Amino acid sequence: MHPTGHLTKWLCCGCLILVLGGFGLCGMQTRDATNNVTGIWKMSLSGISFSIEEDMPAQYQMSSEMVLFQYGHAIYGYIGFLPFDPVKADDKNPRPRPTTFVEGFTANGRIWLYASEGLDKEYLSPLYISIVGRVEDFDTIVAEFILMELDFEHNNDIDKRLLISEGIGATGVFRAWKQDEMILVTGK
Amino acid sequence: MNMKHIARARILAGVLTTLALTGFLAAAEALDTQLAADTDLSGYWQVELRGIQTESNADKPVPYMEIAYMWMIQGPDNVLRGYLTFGDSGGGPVKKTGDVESQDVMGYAGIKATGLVTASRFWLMGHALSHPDLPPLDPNVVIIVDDFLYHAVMAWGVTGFEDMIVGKFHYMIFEGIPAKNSIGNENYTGIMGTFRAYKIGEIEDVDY
Repeated sequence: MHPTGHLTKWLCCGCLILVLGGFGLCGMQTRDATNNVTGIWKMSLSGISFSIEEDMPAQYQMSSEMVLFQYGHAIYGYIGFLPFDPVKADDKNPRPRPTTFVEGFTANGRIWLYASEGLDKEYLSPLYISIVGRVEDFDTIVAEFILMELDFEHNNDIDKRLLISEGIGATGVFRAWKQDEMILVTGK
Repeated sequence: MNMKHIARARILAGVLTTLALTGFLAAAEALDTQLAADTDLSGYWQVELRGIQTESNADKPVPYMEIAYMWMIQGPDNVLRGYLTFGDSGGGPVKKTGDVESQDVMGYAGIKATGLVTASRFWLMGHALSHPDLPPLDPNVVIIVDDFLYHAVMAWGVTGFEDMIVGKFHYMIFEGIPAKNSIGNENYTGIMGTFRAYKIGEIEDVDY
């Protein structure tokens, strides 16, 4: 074989190895990408929903924002699913109180999130959602979700069972994109 | 290939097509949407769970298989209420009563669950707080709770079969150590997969 042919062959092999190595590195980065999800995320849920009222499945779409804080493996945050209750203290202006609390963690490259209106509470929450998936390229979450929405009225009698007037169950694909980074500042 | 082989192949293809169509129609009938009121999930259920279990401090996930039990009462508003019990230990809070020598279990060891029965589907969520190493109650001793587990389960499935439901589940266990600055270093467990549940008994005399 002509020397130039050998050179071309080895160059092609080298390029192929480099490309494969690059793919490998990208894969490793993807697997380790759950190391920091702290930030403000735009989220979108799309799937199928069923209601206790109707006999037919329906398309489920939901868009919202969420804020996540990650400490080691643990993740805490809020989801802006629900209208915030205003909180007013002393003479200060009313401020929103985010109620849909997220608790989660990372394990083996996957992200696990569970949200309800206040974790570890005996009373019913209007919304429950669990999300399991992966963080891709450090700024995108692709996951599956299971969601329950309940519509009921609070009553003052704790012994009386709450009657749920409307209930929706949904499942499908959860996607989130990081909009902004946040820097955690240690409290005094 | 001669004509004989072609004829046999045609017959075989016809039989297989008939079988496939019959199975498809049977499945379609079973999975067809129906009024939620037609479905009654009240009862005692045995649940077979299969999937993967992954822990935040472990290197890789491991296969997961568990037999769980649950009882549910379906109300007139198509809302389910009941308890889930994972394995023998229950996986949930166990309340005890009596003095140190006779610690009888009070109440039900399990995860409190609420669910919805929709058109041919059902949704379920359950959460519970447990203290795995809680010492026996003693009136004269102040108990310091130094760890807890928070359980969160969500599941959905298809109810169209006779006394059987199948579906998917997510189960997360959060470990915490109150009064210790250990956030982020605790062990968290995530389990996901599919389940199959069989009704093993009816609940009688339900008073709504």
